[in-house]
Amino acid sequence: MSVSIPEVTSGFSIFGFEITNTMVWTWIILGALSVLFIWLGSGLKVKPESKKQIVAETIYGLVGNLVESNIGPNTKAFIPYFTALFAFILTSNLSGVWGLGVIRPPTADVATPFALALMTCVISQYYHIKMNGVKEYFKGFLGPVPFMTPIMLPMNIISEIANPISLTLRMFGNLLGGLIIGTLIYSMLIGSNVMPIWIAIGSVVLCAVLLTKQYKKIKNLEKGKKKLVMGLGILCCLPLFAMIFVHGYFDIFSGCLQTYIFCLLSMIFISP
Amino acid sequence: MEGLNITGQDLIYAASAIGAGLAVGLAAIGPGIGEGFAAGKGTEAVGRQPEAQSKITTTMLMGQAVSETTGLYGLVVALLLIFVKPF
Repeated sequence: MSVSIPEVTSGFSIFGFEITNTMVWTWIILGALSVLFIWLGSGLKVKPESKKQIVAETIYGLVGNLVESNIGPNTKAFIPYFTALFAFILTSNLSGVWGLGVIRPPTADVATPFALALMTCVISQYYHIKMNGVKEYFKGFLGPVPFMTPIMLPMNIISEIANPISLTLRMFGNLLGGLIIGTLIYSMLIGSNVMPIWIAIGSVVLCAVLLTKQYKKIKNLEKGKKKLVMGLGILCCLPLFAMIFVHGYFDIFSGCLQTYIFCLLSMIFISP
Repeated sequence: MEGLNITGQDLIYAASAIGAGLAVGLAAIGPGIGEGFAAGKGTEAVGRQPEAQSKITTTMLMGQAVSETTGLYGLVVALLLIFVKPF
């Protein structure tokens, strides 16, 4: 048994296209989210009657506030895009929480963040042209005064190209770094990719047993033996603590933060 | 040094490993200082205005995550050196 960094592997190919596990999980997440949001958006009424509609309106309101405060007024057209972006990135970042290598987060493959960042880049260029007009858009590249053009033109072009790359590398680096550090901690304390699930189930069962029947027996033990039992219990739980640290920090905290950052920076790049 | 055959490829791998370590280590200095500075300023701001703590924390975390990117560039370079082996 050994721990290895979860890799992008291709199980099979269709018409020469390699179908990797990233693509499979992306499709599954997209399908689940589509079903969820279609269900949330169906049967809406002017006067909310169901809890479902209130949830849907809350999500719409949250994203709408964020979009309006960052891009500007009258930007309702962006709300569906950003809701989808937010939901997809959040779900795929959090999907690593089940254990190392159970689901490889699709965003830990460089292709997924790059595709998302490219989408943001195309939308932002289109929106800038639409808002400023073609002439003003190209004038913006030339800089404020004519004699500065030779310096400003390359700088502006590079800064436009750097935006999607920095968005991509931020998300990819965070997720893959989390996977690698998680692998190191797993190999130090746990020693297997599959073990943690059994440890988690085992410890839950153990806790249930201890709490119900055997608790009195342990309570009546003499002091030295009690300490031994407690120590053994804590030692058994050590891998669990490591797991909680790894997945709590790198998947939940970092995942949520990166989702927020990605969406916020996309909005800032799009805003004219 | 008999029996020790170091080919050019081995040397390149060794240099790649050292380079990967250096890339992460040196790239971690800047973001470390920057994030610490941001956290210090955030603490100051909370001390001056405790009622705005949640907003300050959010803004601070966002700024830190953005400034972390420069460190992550180093990490990506190290990963390329170790796993992709471009040379």
